[in-house]
Amino acid sequence: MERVERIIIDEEKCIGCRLCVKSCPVDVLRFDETKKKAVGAYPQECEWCLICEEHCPKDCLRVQPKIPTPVFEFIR
Amino acid sequence: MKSLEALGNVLTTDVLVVGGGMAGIPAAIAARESGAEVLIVDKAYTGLAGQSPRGGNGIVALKKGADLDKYCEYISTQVGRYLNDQKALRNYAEHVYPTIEKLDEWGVELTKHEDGSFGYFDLPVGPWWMMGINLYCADNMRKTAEKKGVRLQNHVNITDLLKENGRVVGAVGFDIISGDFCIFRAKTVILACGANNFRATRMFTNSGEGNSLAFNAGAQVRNAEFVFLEVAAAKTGETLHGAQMFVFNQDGENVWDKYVDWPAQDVCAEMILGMAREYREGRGPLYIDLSKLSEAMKVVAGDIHNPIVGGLRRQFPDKISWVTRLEEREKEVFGGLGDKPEAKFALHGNAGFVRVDQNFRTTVPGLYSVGLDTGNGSAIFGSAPQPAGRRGGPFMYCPTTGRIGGMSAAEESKGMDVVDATADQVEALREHAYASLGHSGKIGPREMFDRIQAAALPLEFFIIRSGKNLNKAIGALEDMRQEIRSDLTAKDYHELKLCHEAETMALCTEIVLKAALTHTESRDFHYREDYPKQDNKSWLKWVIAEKSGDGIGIATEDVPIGEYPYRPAEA
Repeated sequence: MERVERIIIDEEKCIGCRLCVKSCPVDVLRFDETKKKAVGAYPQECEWCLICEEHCPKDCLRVQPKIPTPVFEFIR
Repeated sequence: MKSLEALGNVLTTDVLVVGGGMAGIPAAIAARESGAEVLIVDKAYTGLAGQSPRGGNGIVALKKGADLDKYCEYISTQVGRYLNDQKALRNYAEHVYPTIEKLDEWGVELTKHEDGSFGYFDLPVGPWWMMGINLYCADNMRKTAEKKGVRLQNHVNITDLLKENGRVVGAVGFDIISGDFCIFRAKTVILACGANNFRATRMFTNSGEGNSLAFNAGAQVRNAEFVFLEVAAAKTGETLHGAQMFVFNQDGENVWDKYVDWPAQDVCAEMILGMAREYREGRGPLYIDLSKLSEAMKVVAGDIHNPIVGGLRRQFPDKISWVTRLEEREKEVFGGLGDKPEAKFALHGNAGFVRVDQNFRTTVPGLYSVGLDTGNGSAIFGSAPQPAGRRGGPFMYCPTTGRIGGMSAAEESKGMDVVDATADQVEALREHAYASLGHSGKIGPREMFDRIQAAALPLEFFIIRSGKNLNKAIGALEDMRQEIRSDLTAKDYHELKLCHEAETMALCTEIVLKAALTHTESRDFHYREDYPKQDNKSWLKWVIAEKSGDGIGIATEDVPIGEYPYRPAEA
C-alpha cells in the first residue's frame, strides 16, 4: 500500500546532518556515505508523517503524498 | 565449541529493552535508576521511533489523590466489561500519578499552571482528565536516559529471543544498514515494541514484534480477539480522534446518540456497529460535522490553532508546527478535509496481547513486556482493545507500565549472572534471521503484506464476525504460513526487515482470528453475528494462546471474578 508519490531532497541544500534519517521510524530515508547526503531510499514504506521535514534544518526535503490514500475499509 | 563472538557482534547488559519508544525508554530509565546496566535496542532510532512522535492527542491522566475506586469500577464495568485483571488494574492506577511526576522529572513537557502545578482538562467521558504533552516527549526522555548511562543500539532488528533452561537470556537480530548479526546477552529482557497495526492505518507503523518474539519464545498471549476500530475520514483513511460523537447520517441523525448509551467509553464498538448498520440500511454516506464539537470535546479533537482551553495551553510548539505542516500539505494536495468530511471506519489495530502479570512479567522466566505490546495481554483494560484506557490512553499506559516493568526487571536482575546461550542455538537463529535473503525470489514482502491484508483483514473479520468467515480467513493464513517460510524473499536488509514484519503480521493476525473463533459470545469490539449477546454466565473467560508444536494452541481460563471487587449481577 504505497502512500506517497515521491520524496524530493534538494542535494544542493542538504548539509548531510542525518536528522531526517534519524527521525524516520520506517527506514525510508538512508544516508549516502559517498555523497554525504540523505536519500529517499524506500519511498514505498513512507507514511508521509512529515516528521523528517520537521527535523530538516535546511528545509530541503519534501514528501509528495499520493491521494487518495488507500483506505483499508469494509462496509457492506 | 564455537564462541558467540565468532557468530556476530556480542553486547552484554543486565536489562535489555527491545523498543526505544514511549514504553521502552521509561522502562530503561526506571531499570537504570534501580541500579541495573541497561541497553535499548531499536530497529529505528530510539526517541523518534515508534508512534509517540506522531501522536496528536494528549495524555489521559489521573490527579494526585484521585478516587481510584471510582476509576477502577468504571474501567472494570464499562471499559473492560469484566474481563479485567482487576488486581493489575488497581496496581496500574496507583502507579499513574507517580509516573506523571517522573515524566516531568525526565524532561517531558506537560501542561502546567503558572505556579508550576500540573494542569488538567476536564473530559466529558470517564473518571479521568486530560493533559497536554509535547510531541517529542520520548526523545526528551531518550536524552535523560543517555545522561543516566543507558546505552542505545539503533537500527538493529531483533528477530528472536535466546533461551537457556527455559529462561530468556538475550536476543539476536541484524543491523538493517550493515547487515551485521548482533547477539545480546542479558539477565532480563523487556519487550516494548508497540503492538501490531496490520499496516492498516496511516502513521500507525508498529509491526508487533513484541507479540511474535514472546509467542515464539513460548510465552502465553491473552485477549487477542479484541482489536480496535475507529472512525476514519474516507478521503485519507486517517482515523479522526474525538470525532465519533459528531457523526451524522443523511437524515441528519447523530449516529452516536442513536446507538450508544451512557456511560459509554469514548471509543466504543456500539458506535462502529451502528455506523455499519447505517451504511447497510442506506442512510449513508455518513459525515462528521466538526462545527458541532462542544467546548469540552475541543480538548480531545479541537482546532490545533486554538489550543488554549480553559486557560491552559494543551498543545506545545513542536506539535503545533507539525500539525500545521500536515494540514497545509493536505490542503495543497487534495483541498483538505473540509468542514463535513465523509466518515467511514477503519481498522486501527494496536493489537498487543503478550500476557503479563501485574509486575509485567510474561509467562516465560526472564522475559518482561510493557507498553502497547501488553495492552490486551495485561487484561488491565479487559475486553477494551487498544488504545488502552481510551484516547490519550497509550501516553499514560506506556510510561506507567514501562516504569513498573523496568523496576521489576532490574530487581530480578540483581545478584544474577549472565547466562550464555549455546552456539548451536545462536547459529540456528542466525539462519532464521537471514532466511529470506537466500530464497529464490518468488514473493517479496510488500506483496505478502497485500496478500495477508486481502485474505484476513477485510473488516468483516474484525467488526461483524461469524464462525464461517473466521474459518475462511484462518484457512487462508494457514496456507500462507509455509510460503512465508520457504518463498518470502528479500533483496536487501531493508526488505529483510520487511520480511520479518510480514511473518509477524501473519502470525498476529492468525492469533487474533483463532482467539475470535474460540470466543463464542459478543463483547465490546468482538462481535459475533452467530453469537450476538454478551454472556456473563459462560464467558467471564480469557482466551489464551500459546505455541503448540508448529501452530497455535488455544485455551480458555476463567477470570477469577470471585476475587475481584466488581462483578456482574450474573456472577
